[in-house]
Amino acid sequence: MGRFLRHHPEYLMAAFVMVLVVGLALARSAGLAITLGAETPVAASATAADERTWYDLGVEVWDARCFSCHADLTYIPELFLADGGRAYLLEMMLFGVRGEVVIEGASTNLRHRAYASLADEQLSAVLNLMLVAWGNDEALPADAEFYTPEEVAGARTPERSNEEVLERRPNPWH
Amino acid sequence: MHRHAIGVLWVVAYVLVVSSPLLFMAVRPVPPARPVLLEASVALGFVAILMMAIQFVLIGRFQGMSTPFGIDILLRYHRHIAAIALAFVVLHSLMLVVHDPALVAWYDPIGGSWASRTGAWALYAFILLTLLSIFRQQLRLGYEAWRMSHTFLGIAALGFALVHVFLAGRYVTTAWKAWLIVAICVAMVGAYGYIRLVRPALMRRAPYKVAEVRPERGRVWSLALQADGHPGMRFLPGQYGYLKLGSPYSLDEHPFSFSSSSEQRGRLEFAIKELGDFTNRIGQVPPGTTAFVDGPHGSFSTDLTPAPGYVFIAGGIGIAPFISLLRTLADRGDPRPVLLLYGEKRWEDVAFREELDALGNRLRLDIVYVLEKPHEGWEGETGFVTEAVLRRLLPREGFERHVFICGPNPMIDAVERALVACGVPERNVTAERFDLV
Repeated sequence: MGRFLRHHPEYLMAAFVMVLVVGLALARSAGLAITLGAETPVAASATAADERTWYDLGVEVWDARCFSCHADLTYIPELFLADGGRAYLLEMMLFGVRGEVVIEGASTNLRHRAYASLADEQLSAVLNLMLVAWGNDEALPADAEFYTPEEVAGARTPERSNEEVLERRPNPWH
Repeated sequence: MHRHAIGVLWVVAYVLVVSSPLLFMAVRPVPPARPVLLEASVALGFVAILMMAIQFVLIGRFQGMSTPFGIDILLRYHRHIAAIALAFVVLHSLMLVVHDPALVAWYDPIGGSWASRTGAWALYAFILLTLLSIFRQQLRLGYEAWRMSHTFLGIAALGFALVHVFLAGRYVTTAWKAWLIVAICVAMVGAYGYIRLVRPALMRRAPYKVAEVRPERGRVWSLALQADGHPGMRFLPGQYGYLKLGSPYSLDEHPFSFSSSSEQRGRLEFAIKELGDFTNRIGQVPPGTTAFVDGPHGSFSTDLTPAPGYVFIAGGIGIAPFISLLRTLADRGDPRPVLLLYGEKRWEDVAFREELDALGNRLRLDIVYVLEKPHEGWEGETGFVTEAVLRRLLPREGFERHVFICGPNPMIDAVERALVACGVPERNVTAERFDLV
């Protein structure tokens, strides 16, 4: 065995890398990561003990419903901060959206299904998650208003069509 | 620095580069935590990309890298690491499917999103290039065509994988992460481009002319090159070079051991046996043909392995580097004792035997021929270089000679085992294999 590994360091390296991979995967799935520099206040509040619940719930919804289509939604803060963006994101999640929009000069077919079947807590959690994940928290002002389950409940009526949601969409990227 | 220390350094550097993308995953900003299977899948994908990128330099014939290992060993690493990387890539995709069976749709090369499509393309390009390499002979794919396809499929697989990382990427959202992975991949492919394009351009300035093609015994040819307008090449006895006839950009290049003395620079000789398409035509190469030599390469040299004496064990055309070593040692008036065991089928096929006799007068050289098919009346050793033969012939001395072996792979394997059985420490044995592709 020792002779084999001395003659084939490539397998030793592969085994070592596998150990790193498994260790990292375990750490990441537990939500652990290294922070370089100081954390922003928003990120800190997002991970505060009393808010762990919505964060975990958001991650659960994201993994089950969003992950298979979406990569990092790093543009969320820009959309959220645009005029009417905060309401649009919520309505888009509740009623879906469909139609042509112009993004950076190119006509783009926008299409998103409705997630009204999700609970108020689930919807607000996943929306808030998108506000803070992937470094989005750094683009968010300290006084940014997070979504609440009550707010989601209130937005369920009146029901809006895909077209109505599209009309109410701000476009920061003409 | 000692060669083995350099070798260890390279291995450590390799592990560091390959695992560097795991940093992306460990350092914030990072996406929300996901199930362990997904995270492991992503990590494997990242590692596999870096392994693929480094494949380009493993075969790049960089002297600093090839000297501690030997190019034959690097090529073996290249193949084994390819197998490991392919296993990682397949595992990467399978883990996603285990996590969510619906993701099996991502194997569709035209369906899904661009993120999944490019990932699938990278996977298929990688599988295709592996199959072409394994079944090249059965597919009757010519060496050059295979090499072209290998290069392009390799670059395509790496390119698609990178695009896949950026489209699917939840980890390369920060500039330094994106730059790090792109920079490493570009550097690796760039190094390969350097070997394929820049080095041949430099080689153009050091052309050689075929001076002589001389027949030796046993369908072996001595091909002599004369440096044309430059002082020639400095090499260590026992090293080898890639010979290209015609253009320096030709992919039709073949590694041959130098057989000339390293003490004469302007004239290089190769000992080439008729064993295939290219080598069968060597005898017809007209003098005056332009030639280029990529080299020197290899660590099969007494100059890199000082010892108080040597045992050279040659099988067939494996004699070539030893001719260079012996001619060089003779030119230098080296006083150290050398025992040469030289296995060949028939006595009349023993290439260079007249010259070896002459070298015996200039060196402390003992030669033992081992004939597989001895003629009537042969009184020397017969069969193969076995443990029994070695026990009889290995000198009993108060010092440890270094043993060099060059020959066909099965012979090298057998002799290595026999040497171990005779109690020769592994560190005192160096072998050169020539099963390049």
